[in-house]
Amino acid sequence: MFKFKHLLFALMLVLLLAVVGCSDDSDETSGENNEPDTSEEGTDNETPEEEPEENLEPVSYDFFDASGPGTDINTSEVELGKRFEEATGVTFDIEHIVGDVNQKIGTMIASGEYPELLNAEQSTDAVIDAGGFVPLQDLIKEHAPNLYDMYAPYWELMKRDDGNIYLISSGAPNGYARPANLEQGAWFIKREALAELDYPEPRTLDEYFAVIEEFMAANPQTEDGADRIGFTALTYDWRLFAFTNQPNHLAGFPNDGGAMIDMETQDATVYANTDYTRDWLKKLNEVNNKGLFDREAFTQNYDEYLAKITNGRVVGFFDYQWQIGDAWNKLGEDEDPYNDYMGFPITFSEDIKDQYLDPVAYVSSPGMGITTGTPEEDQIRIIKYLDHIAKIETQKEIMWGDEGVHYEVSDDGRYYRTEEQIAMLEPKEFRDAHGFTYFEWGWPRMSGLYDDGNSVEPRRQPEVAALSYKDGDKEFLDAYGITTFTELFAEPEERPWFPAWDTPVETGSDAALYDQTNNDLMLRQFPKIITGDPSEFDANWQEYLDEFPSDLAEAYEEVIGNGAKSKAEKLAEGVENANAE
Amino acid sequence: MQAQTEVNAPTPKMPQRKDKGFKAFLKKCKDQRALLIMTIPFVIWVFIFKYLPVWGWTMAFQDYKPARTFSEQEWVGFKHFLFLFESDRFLGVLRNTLAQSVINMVLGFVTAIGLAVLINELTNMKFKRVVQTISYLPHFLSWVVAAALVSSVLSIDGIINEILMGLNLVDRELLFLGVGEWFWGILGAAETWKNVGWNAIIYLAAISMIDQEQYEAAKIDGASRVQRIIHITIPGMKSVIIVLLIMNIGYILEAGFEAQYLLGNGQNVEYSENIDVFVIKYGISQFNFALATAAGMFKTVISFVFLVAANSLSKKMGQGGLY
Repeated sequence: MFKFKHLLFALMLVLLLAVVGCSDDSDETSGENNEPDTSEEGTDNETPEEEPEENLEPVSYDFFDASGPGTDINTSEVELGKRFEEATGVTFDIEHIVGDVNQKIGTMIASGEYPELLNAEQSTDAVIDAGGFVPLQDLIKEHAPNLYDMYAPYWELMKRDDGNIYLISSGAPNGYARPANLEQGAWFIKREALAELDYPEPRTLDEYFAVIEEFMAANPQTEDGADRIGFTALTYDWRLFAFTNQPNHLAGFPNDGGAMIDMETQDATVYANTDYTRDWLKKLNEVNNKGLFDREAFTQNYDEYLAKITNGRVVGFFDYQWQIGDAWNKLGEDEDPYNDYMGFPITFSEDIKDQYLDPVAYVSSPGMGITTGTPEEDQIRIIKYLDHIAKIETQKEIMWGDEGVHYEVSDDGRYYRTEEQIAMLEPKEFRDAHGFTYFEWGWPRMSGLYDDGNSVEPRRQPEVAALSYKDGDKEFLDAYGITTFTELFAEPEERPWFPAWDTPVETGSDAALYDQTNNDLMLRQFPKIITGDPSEFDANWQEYLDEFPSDLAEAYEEVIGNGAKSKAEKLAEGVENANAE
Repeated sequence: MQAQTEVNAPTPKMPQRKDKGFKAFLKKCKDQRALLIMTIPFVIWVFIFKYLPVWGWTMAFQDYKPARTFSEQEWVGFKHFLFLFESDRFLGVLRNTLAQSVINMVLGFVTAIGLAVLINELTNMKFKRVVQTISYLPHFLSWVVAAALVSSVLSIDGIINEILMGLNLVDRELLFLGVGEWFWGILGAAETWKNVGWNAIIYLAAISMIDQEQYEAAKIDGASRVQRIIHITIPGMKSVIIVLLIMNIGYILEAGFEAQYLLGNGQNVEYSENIDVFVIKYGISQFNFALATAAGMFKTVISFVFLVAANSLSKKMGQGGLY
């Protein structure tokens, strides 16, 4: 009996603990964002002083960044963050996404618990639909003059349908700075092949594959005996667009997403069911038949794809430079300039003007927003922090660094870097420790040129780019008679709606469904079309067309077309307003 | 299992005593209060995690938008179910789910029982332990790692292709994951490799319950090793096998998710995509939680039907059921 009582007591204790533990938890989660803490601190300080301007009381907020993986830090751990803390008293605990964005943000939405500052990446619209962001327009106008100045031309574009501004996106264009190196899409060829074939300059799709074919015929294997792959493609998961966008680029359009936008009417036309796509597939089918197309193109995942490019077996591929950054850097690190790649602006025929370089582009989403549940005084502290970042001096501090340390200024006001400075800034560890990597993207930022004519991004400043080229690079620049690698590419035409893919598409609508349905269809049918026997090409293509969701495509075209039109209109308005002010 | 029926034996007597009514019930509760108190935490757990979420099924009949209160949601009736059943792909998805599941189940049972019997026949204890450990280790790998292993083994320059080429069995490397028709087989093999050792553990436990005297008697009667396996070991495991079979049939639509998602690609999608993958693509990634819920409900209902059917079938065949 005695023992039984003990047991009973122990059980009751466990139960009690469980109950207490549970209730404790729920209390804790509701206060997880330090909201009670910070608001108490905030009010404690502000009421006696009555001067919120002077409020430099140290305070830390959470910033969840879903735009990509990275090291989680508190901004005070890096030099730039320390300086901003001195100026504003604010630091941020930056947490990066691990795993699936939709799932993580979905959990936030379902629970209603947000970090104070949030970049929800592709789930942004869902957060807005759920009322997760607070309107920023009044906050900015009242407390953030620098931020307002920077974004004034895009003010109308930042507004959502309900007239509120919820997001500050990174990159408010101010003039056009042509990139010196490829940052976007191109058809890449291994330099080894180019050197061996006496530096050919392919312009059309046929010429491009002719170069690969000629090189492959003479060099079917790499030096270490591995089979070379003529042409590979990235088709994994959502990155499929790097493959399916190809016909669009070949036809001389920039990356507006799944549709081409007419220059005159600004109507959107889906191209996945057009002859552009057909011709492109036909060529790939022919290439596959010659054994030049990577057999694993449709089964490899992103990592396997990058590994393949890094280990030197791939002769050619199309991709956006930022997707292969890791592989690109690894190839660039070694001393061998011939295992690197060079990009070409390939089109269907010579009379099509290529549009691989992005035009001046304002992207309104994703961006960072302040979430509901953040007390007003904290909203003000955060927006002032962002305002501090938006000051021109701070912008230069973030992008260029300190004058005399990270860059120099010539007599005529041009910014440049010495070779030592370039070498000093190259290691990622250095840029991490200083904080460049944490602040150069994602926060309020201008892009293009400063008003003094210097490029916002050092890598786009010709003086910097020219010095960054190594001897191996120069061999190819000289051979092609160019000074930068983008010189082969045509100047981008003005497209105020660019990029049209940032048009908000309502979740669950037909337009959204088109994206998913058509992606699945292409993922299913394109491998069949490309790897099939050339004699069956027409039948396979017809089978694909029969399944093509035309109704949904129309809905998509309408949404994107209207988005492009309204964006172009608002931009014209905004620029006028900004000029008038 | 013998033990279980003994525990159950007194229960039929309950109705006879029950004529004293509520009082008797209370008395019984009092007699068994220690047991009852011990079950409380689990009842609470079951209620919170298994019954409360059923309320969420209401989502399936709404155009559910997060962060809205229940009264603000828009009711749409069977719209999401119709979307599921009218979609051409759903039939294919359903077929894949069932096929994958049945293949996994049959392979899983046969191999696990086989392995358990074989391990049981080993007489060298050290070797027995090593075999058992090695065979159940893959179970602890996450599917992300396991899928990477599988896809690299099956890749064009993977070990299997090298062996096939070396033996001149094929003229050209095979693109295993690029042929849709092979996917079910690959999946079944991968599942088996990963789980066979783990699944065998419970059968080994069942075998160890078998009275050694039976073996001795059989030996004296001149039964060979194979005969002993067929007439003693397997019948001894029968009740465990049946219980597990019934439970697994309840999960017939749970063919797994990670393996299909990670090994699936454009070339095998027609055979790899199952309900869970479909739900991720069209439900959760589209923030269409209602559709995901509808698919989940459908799965639950089907599973329930299968479970009840299997249970009553087993009872009819005189094998005793789960309940």
